[in-house]
Amino acid sequence: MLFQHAFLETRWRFLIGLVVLPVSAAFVVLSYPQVMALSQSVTPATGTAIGREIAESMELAKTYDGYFWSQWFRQNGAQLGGLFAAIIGTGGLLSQAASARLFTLSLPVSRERLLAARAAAGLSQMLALTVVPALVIVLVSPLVSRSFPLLDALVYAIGAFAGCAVLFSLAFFLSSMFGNVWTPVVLTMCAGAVLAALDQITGADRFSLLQMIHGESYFHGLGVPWPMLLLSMLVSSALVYAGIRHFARQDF
Amino acid sequence: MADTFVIETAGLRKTYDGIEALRGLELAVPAGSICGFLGRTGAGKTTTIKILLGMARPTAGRATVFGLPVDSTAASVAIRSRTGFVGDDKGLYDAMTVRGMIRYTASFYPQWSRELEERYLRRFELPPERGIKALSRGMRTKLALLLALCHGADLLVLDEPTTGLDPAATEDVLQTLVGHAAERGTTVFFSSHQLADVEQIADHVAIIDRGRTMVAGVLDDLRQNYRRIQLVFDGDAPAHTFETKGVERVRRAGRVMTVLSSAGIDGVLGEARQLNPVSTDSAPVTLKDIFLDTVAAED
Repeated sequence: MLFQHAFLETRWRFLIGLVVLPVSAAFVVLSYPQVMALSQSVTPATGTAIGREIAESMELAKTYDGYFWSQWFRQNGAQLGGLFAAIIGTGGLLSQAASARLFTLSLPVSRERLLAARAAAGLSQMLALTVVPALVIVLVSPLVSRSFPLLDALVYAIGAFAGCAVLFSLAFFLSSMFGNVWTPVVLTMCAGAVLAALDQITGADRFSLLQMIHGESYFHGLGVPWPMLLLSMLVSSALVYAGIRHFARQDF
Repeated sequence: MADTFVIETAGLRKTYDGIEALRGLELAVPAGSICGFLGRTGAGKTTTIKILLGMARPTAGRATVFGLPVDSTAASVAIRSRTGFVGDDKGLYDAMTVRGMIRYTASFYPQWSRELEERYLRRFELPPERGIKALSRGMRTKLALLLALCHGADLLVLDEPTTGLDPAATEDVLQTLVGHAAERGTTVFFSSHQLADVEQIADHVAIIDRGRTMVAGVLDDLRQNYRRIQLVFDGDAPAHTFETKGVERVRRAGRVMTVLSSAGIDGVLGEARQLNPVSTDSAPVTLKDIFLDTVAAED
């Protein structure tokens, strides 16, 4: 029941994500013929950074896998996934109305269990938000006379889930400190932006969180980034644990 | 019930950011009693209730409920499994319906009584399918009370249960509490500003002020033992410190000295004769008098 209640608490954010992400993924699939046609008639100027980005994307779009990876897993999917991770991770007991919070705290259940249920519900929602769009890609691709391997889609989805789980857990941890829902979202998105900037400055390597969300190493044939997956799970668990401990020590 | 006192505190202190909310609170609530917990706003009533239910941790001192320490996580869960709580704001989940709220709460208590649930749903005329958000304050209070009553709690802790209710709803809530407690031997510990409510249903009372217990005991004994003694003198009332046990407060105004005694009148009158008053008079006091004299004495 705790899990169910925690799930219901964020159900609207989850349901919005469950519409936005698959629809966005399907839109990327269905846009493929137009993008292909456009790419044959346009030659981007490579003198600027944007021009080089466009040229790279057009190069990748020569294959369906490349097109899809660059348009969805590396861009839209990763950005939307990160955003929904922050949105679903925020909130919880501290941001509940004070009176409802006292009712919750009067129930015969420890704060640790309450928070653990909330984390479990949120992470299961994040798993659905990363896996369902991947399945949509596999199912919709035949409509544009293409196919996308199920195994590849699931590997990308698991990488995205592990990375987004870190962002979710960061928002969850911050929610144990701030009594409103927006500060953790903003701070988590800022953390994501800092990571992206660091990737740009340092030249991302195999230990980049964003590259794991993108599935960079898998796309380039370097296999599943197991160490980074493991590290992400450890960081995520540590943040959730820290959030629970911090909340459990507070007075209300 | 085996516990002599369901709630006991000794030297209980709580400090929030350097501000002392409780300053050595002493409480002993006997099993099966209905104890009114009185105090002005900011006296420490809600803080005490939060500590008893594990929502806040004491800074120092000891507090037990059912003999279990309130500052242990495991014990606190055990305490809450035997305690029904109605908060000051009657906080419930606005997104749920009445029935959803009941089902959710019932899932935490294996001993939840469907029979009591039906009884109180009918008695309080609660519409099961209505959203919590659409309930009036009175309805919310009644639903919060239903949730607290139906899981077979040995202790009910209520923070200002009748605040904001009309007289009919207040009467309904109080009668339900008394009936439930009498039927099941439940201990009731309720804070209130409404002295009339306390006088109507409580058999024990604890008055606190600025985080300390000022008066505590059986309400009938307090009524019996508390007396206001008025001494009138020829000239100005003398400045005298009474040594008689039970003198709670002495006030002087011109020729009149008023003594509040918690131990009858004999001792005070005996000592007062040495002061040669021209007249003496004594009168019983109400709970309101005791409350006002007790908390005013602190000012």
